[in-house]
Amino acid sequence: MQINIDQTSKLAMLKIDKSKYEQLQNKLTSILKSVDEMPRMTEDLKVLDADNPMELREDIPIDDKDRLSRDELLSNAPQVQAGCLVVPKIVE
Amino acid sequence: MELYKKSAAELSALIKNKSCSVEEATKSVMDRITQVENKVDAYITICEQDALTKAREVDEKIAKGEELHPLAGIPIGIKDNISTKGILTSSASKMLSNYIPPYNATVIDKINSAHMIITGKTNLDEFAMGSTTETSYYKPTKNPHNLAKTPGGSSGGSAAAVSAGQAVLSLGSDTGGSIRTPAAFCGVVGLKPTYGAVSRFGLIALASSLDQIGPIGRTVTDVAMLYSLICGHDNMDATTKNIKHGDYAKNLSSDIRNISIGIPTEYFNLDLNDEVRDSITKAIKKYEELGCNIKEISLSSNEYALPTYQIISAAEASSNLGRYDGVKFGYRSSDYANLNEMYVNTRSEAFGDEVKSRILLGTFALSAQGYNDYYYKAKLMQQQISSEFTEAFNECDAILTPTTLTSAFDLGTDAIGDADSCTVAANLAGLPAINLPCGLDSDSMPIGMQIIGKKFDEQTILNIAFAYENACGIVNMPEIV
Amino acid sequence: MNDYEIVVGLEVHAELSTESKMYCNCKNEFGLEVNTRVCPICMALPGALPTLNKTAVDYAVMMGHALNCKINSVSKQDRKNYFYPDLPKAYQISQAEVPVCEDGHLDIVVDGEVRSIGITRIHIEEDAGKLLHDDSFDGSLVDCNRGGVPLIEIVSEPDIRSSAEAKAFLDMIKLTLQYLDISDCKMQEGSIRCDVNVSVRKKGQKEFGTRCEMKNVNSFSAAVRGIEYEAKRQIELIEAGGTIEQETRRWDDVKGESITLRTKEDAHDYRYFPEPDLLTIVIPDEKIAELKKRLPELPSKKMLHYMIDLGISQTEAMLLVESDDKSKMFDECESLGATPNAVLNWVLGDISKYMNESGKSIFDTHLTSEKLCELISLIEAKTISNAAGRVVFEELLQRDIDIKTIIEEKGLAQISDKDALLEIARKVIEDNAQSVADYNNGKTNALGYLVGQCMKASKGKANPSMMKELILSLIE
Ligand SMILES: [Mg+2]
Ligand SMILES: [Zn+2]
Repeated sequence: MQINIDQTSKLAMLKIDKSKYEQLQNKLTSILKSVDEMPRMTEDLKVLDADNPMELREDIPIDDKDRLSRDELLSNAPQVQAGCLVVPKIVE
Repeated sequence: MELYKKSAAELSALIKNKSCSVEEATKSVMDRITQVENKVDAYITICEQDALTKAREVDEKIAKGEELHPLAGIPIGIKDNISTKGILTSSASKMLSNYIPPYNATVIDKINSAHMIITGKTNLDEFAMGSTTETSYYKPTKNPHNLAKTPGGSSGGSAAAVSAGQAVLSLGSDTGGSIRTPAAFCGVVGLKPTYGAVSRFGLIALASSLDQIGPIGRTVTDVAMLYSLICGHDNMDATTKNIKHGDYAKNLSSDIRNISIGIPTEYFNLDLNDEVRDSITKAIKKYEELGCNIKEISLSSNEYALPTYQIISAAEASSNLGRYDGVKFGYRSSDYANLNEMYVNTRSEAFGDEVKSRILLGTFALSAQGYNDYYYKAKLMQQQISSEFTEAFNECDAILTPTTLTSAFDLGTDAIGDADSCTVAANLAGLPAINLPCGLDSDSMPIGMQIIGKKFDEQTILNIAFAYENACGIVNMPEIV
Repeated sequence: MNDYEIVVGLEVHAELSTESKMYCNCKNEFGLEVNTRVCPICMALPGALPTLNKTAVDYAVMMGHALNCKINSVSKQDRKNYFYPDLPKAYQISQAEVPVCEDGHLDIVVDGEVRSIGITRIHIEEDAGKLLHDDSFDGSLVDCNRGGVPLIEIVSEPDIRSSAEAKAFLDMIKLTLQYLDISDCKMQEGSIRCDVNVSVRKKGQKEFGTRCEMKNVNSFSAAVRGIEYEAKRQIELIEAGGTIEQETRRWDDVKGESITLRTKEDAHDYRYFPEPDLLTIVIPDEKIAELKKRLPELPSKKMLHYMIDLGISQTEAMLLVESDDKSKMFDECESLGATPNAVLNWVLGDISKYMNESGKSIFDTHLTSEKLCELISLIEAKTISNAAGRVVFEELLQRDIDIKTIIEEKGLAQISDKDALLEIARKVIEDNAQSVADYNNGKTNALGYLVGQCMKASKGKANPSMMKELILSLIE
């Protein structure tokens, strides 16, 4: 199988330079080919591992004094306005 | 006294009996960095002032007679995909080239509470995607044993720094071999712990179900000391397992008589370089001399491990890297007219080619078109590979393989895709695996062997490595020329 | 229009009223200053990892029990991938393959008939943040406070056949959440929202028609309007010879219309896969059983009892079920043997009025179900009049005193002695000759006036129906 780069890059929010299409296509195709050639294990995939249960978190909220401030949390944001992250205008 | 050449265990003893101060040790490592960093390029960020300040603080504590962790005062380099509060954590990507985390990874909290000295943040392949450090946005790291060669990757900076004496210990992360491959190429010891042994909280994810943080050092003892510090259950990482860990360094034993070591024939059918093959064969002989039972075993699906790994890691990565969108942190394109353009331009301008190609592969593997034939098929194979290991461990206590097919190759070589073909299976099966140097090739480049253990049985593979190291010694620190 | 049947399936999202968020320990609170209930985890900072809230899972199991679901003791979480600014990780952690609860049903009553609506599944997931739009500013703002708030999504089978059934179903879901005390259910704060799937088919046809999904339905009344609009749109389209395309539409409640959001071709490919940062959710069987024991008597069961067993109307039954106090008072009196209709009048009348005006619970007064029953039987035995009953009721709210004492104290006993009443009647007729004449000339409402005068003369104690009969016998 081949990857439809236009379609997939759209899903992935990427733009691929036309000059790199071929090289990329070759690289990806060779990986897909090796999977195509791999035998398909007929055994069902065990999606639930009951022997490895997850410990759940107690429902206790963090103390206000222990939490990071808004300024700290937004300190890396490219654009902030009135305590909010800013994105290009979304028309709904 | 060239303190930077000392192992962590030696330095710890010197500090404890006041033969040297933490400041002296730190200064020695920092001077070494100044001396060789322009050749090795192991670091993205060097924390000289902070390190020296911290060193003096630790000296004060010692002067006051405080009881400190054995690793207190030991200089350590941190892979730049591990979050350090207030210190640039770029994951070697343009995307995060301005990102200063407001919080520490759990392993960093542990390192700080043990009063280790962070020397800086080490170079890696962008988002840990690669085996050479050449996909780093900043620069490729050079192999201290030969500056024209790759140190391996993705934890190339961490392995090179330890190898070159630019850190006594370092932390790397390993998703498909990213600790073991550079450890093998640089002639140092690197441990990829059992999945769930070390908290990933704060580790910038590549593939969440495969990633583990692990220690790199020049000796097995050093690696065991650091591993003992960083392992353990963490409330912040639901995938860590709540089991009792002992002190792996204190429990080290070189008595490995009657330990049985499995040798999977399939690994030796790979396209293995002759000198690597010879070294591994000699190592196996050495283990026989040390009293181990050597058993031939079969891991027949190993030949499919690499494509299986490529699909699963890319699938998870494609999802993990969705958050880099120019909204909350990191790079944002300056060229956009609407939301969609901002997303696309930001991601296209700030991700490198390798990252883009893996995101595409992973996106496709999870898409309606690719899910069954690629993602699901790979998960089925992963299950098969795991169960083959489980069976193999009915017959042996540990498994020995080469770590890499060749020794370090030249930088700029079109990255050999198979670089990880010996290492990925341990990640797919969640098993602990260690790289131990086992000789030099005719160009004086290090060769590494890999010992894979049962889940949470790090002690056994550390002991096996320790026994060999006691018998054969460690790799000399290279002259950097 | 009447040749068609409407088929509706609903997906209800309800925010859970846990103390902390679903995957981090940020406080789960509404309406705070923007981005002050966030942390590295819900902001998706690199390296941050989720941990699952135990109480949220318990709540989902309780709802599963309430909706007669099979509870999966082992389940898992998956990622739903898409890019949007209110979703910092670019994926929502949800459950795709194996939800916590499956395969249940909820019984509702519509037009006097019981309908059992299938519940496909209940799964846990996280809420998204909020986008704020401000015309004065060239851009949209993102507030992540709501991001990571625990949700359950309740998915119904396409068993609903009218907007009225949809409304009854939604009302009952909301009531159930309230009875379990697991959601605030504040519609205006968006704590319950729903997506509506609508299709139509010719009556008698077996296969379903092509369905359209409607998003942005923010109230139950909007769901009713949306379903009616959508069904009408589809029927008209079919009647005009067109075909329905599967699509996602957006309901605009202000305009009262829906518009295409995306067609089947641009349907999202969410690339679901197992969430690798979390392990399997295992709920021990004992825990599942224990959570079942925690359930109160459920509102759907009560509704069925009120409407089917007692014949109470939908509106009145709903008024009872919606209020713990009212239904409790009603149920107690009913079990003490009082006439249901009489109790209903008191509960939905004076008791309701008292509770609304005082803002207090009826159980914080001195009125008990025993006293209300006694009061009702005294009225029914005509020992006191309705009017006197009201006086007694007011006293019972205020004082811990028995009813007999009140009646004596206030002289409220009704006069049913015929001679005494006859005397009053004769006197009133004598004094109101004009009204008598009016009545005899056909002005029937003059009778009311005369009875009223008699009641006044008896200081309200006369038995009004006997009084009326006596007057009539005297003037006709
Ligand atoms: Mg949902
Ligand atoms: Zn949070």
